[in-house]
Amino acid sequence: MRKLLLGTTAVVGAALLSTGASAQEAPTVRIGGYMDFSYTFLSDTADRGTQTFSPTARRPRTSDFRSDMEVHVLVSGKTAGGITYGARIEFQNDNIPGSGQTAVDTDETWLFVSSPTLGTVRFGDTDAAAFVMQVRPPRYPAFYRPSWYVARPGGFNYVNSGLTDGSDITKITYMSPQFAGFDFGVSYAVNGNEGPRNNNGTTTGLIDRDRQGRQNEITAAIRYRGNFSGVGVAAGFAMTHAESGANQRAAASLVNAGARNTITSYGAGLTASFQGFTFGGEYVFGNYRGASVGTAPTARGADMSWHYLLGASYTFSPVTITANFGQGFQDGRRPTAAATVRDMRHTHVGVGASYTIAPGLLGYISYEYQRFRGWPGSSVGSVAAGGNRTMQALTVGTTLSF
Amino acid sequence: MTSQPQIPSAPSPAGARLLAAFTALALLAGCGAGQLRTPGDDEYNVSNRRDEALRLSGSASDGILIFGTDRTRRGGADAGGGPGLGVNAFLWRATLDTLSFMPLVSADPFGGVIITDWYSPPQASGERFKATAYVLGRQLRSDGVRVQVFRQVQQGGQWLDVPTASSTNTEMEDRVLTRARELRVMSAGR
Repeated sequence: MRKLLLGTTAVVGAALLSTGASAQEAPTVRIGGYMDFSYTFLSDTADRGTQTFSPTARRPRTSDFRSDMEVHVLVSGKTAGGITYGARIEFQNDNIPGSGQTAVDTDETWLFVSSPTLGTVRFGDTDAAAFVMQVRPPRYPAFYRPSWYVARPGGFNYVNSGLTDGSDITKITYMSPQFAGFDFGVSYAVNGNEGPRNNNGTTTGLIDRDRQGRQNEITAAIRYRGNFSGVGVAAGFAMTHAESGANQRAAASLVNAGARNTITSYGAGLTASFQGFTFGGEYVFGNYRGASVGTAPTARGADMSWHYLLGASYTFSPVTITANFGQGFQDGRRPTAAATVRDMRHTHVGVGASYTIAPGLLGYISYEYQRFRGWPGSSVGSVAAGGNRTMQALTVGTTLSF
Repeated sequence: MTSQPQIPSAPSPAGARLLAAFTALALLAGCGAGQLRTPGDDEYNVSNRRDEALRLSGSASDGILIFGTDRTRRGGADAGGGPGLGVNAFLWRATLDTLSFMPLVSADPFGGVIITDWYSPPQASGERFKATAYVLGRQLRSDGVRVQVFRQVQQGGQWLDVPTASSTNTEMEDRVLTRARELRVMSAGR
């Protein structure tokens, strides 16, 4: 099967190079990025008890400033055959532990070739086809949901997560041209993790081919976009299929000892846009668990996880208002038998508004409510595993993108 | 004794079927190359704040050029011109579509000016109209287009200028904006 995939990629690659003559363009190199600054006030029932922060146990603050940035190197050129090619290398401040939270590492890094008639192929550490082509309702941009970062509860289901949640494991992605409103994409990753990882791996140390993460991840999506009497309609279906890390299932003491061999997720979405309004919804289900859809396995015998998310947005001149409501479910059984807790039900409500001060410069404010019945993580503060947890976050911030 | 889990080395049958289906779709798509278009980067979901913020603010920044010559003038979401355009591509195309029932005298895609020739509706041969449209910038905004309609009536074998209702200009602008919105929705659908 792998040979078939590689062969198909080779055919596509050969076809890409056989298009008609076009003016060649030397590569250009550009710098882009963003700088974000925000203030968040957080109310979290877990804060009623102390949390353990080395070296002492204490309550966290209810508010904080947060800054974030990325710098992107964007390379693009065109061959004499009309093929666009290039690369994208993203540097980010990723809160690397032990670095004083100011170290910089890489985020997505990928090459691409694109033909006007045969589609686009990406190679490298980037999002899966199911993620980039999943039809989703209007929803918060990342900077609207600081509770994810500020509360940092870890391990909970988050209904705003798309399929694979932007996972950048090294892969090949093909995205087709659009034909009669339809286009589709497919991506394949051999092994989990990203980047060059371990050079000169040894039998006793880390190696690239370690089977620690998910393997043979195939994702696919198909979508339709069209217009009916001024109403823009988009509909799509996306799915992921992967094998859970075999080395994490190899012994009873490991984290995924009781996990299914496969991780699956399926999502259908529909949106309609008219005169500045956009409404939409999605339903996602599959054998996955944890914070992100389609990246971690469920326990054997566990019910499927699911979530639905509804969204609406309205744009009038420089202002965009977005609102979301969603609920999700995950079975309480865990791959490690001792960790079994109550089934988890997650409710998410949020509303946010942005104001465009100038091209690329935004001010924004958002409110987010999250409730978990059957807290799926380990005990946090006053919330025991399996208990209930409620978080509310109010955020004000600004972002400059260039 | 703990049984060893099966360690797969290739996609499962379900994965293989999926891959085959999409390969077939790829071949089908290749058969109709004349009607194909490759979606732009702004038509895919993203997981980085830069692109999210740029889309939300209606900006289509390609970044700051530090090496090479800028030849792209890429048309982005709501802003920027299309290839060879100095003004917003959606407004430009929508203006052309809206005025297409009249003969064109000139169309300047860099200055954003479209001038039609005189046109007599079949049902009113005694009057004729001429329109001048200005696409005012690279942003897709409701005030990004101006249309001026001129009207003449025939009296005694001569064409005489007569005023045009101001609502006529506004209605034409609304039609252009509606068409631009349709084009924008068709190209995005996110």
